[in-house]
Amino acid sequence: MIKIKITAFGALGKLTISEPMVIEIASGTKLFETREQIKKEILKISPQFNDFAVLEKSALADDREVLGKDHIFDRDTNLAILPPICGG
Amino acid sequence: MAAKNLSKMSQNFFVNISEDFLSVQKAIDFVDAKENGAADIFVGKVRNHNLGKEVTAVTYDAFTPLACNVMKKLCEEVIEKFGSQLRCYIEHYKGRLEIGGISVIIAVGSPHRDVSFKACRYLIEELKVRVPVWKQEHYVDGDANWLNGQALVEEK
Repeated sequence: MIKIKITAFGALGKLTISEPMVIEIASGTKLFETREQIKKEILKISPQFNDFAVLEKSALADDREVLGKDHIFDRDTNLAILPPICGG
Repeated sequence: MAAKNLSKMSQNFFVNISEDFLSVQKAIDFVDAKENGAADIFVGKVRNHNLGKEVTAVTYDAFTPLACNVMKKLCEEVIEKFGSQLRCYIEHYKGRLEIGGISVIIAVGSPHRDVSFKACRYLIEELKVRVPVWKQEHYVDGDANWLNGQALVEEK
């Protein structure tokens, strides 16, 4: 099993404001499969969470790039949840 | 604790997410060069209204490491598109700003004006759809709201 440490930003930043979320997944798990586990973990730590529309539109990224849905996790990873952006 | 500095710089570009107030003069100084006869500067500021609501302040959030990576890529794109003589500067603020506060500065120096206008426009338009930054507006009634924006996609 590998550890995915997750930090959320923007409208979802409140989910990890005190500390990152951590989930464990099997090595070889694809990103689109990991999304379901993230959703379950969010509901575990924040049962009243209801921003599913924002979560669905959010990208997942590491420090270097936005990850595609077929990205395979094969090592411990720091993951960021990025809602639709609005800078400038 | 001081914020980790993840800014990126070469002779041709400087990009940064800053928790200190932004300086227009710093941008002008960076893009200045003896070969350049033009400098175009875009300054984004906090305004006191949006969609009919009175805004009192804006808080900016940013995923700094990826934001710096994408801004570096934007600079490389304009240098490839418009010429190696360009000097580019992109800095975005992170934290709370009151009305009139500077949220973003983009500056481009080039030998002639046409290219600096075009490159500067390219950088701000691409920043708005590719750089992971968010804004939360604070309203006169005490309410606050994270604004909707552009969903990020994988960069090819």
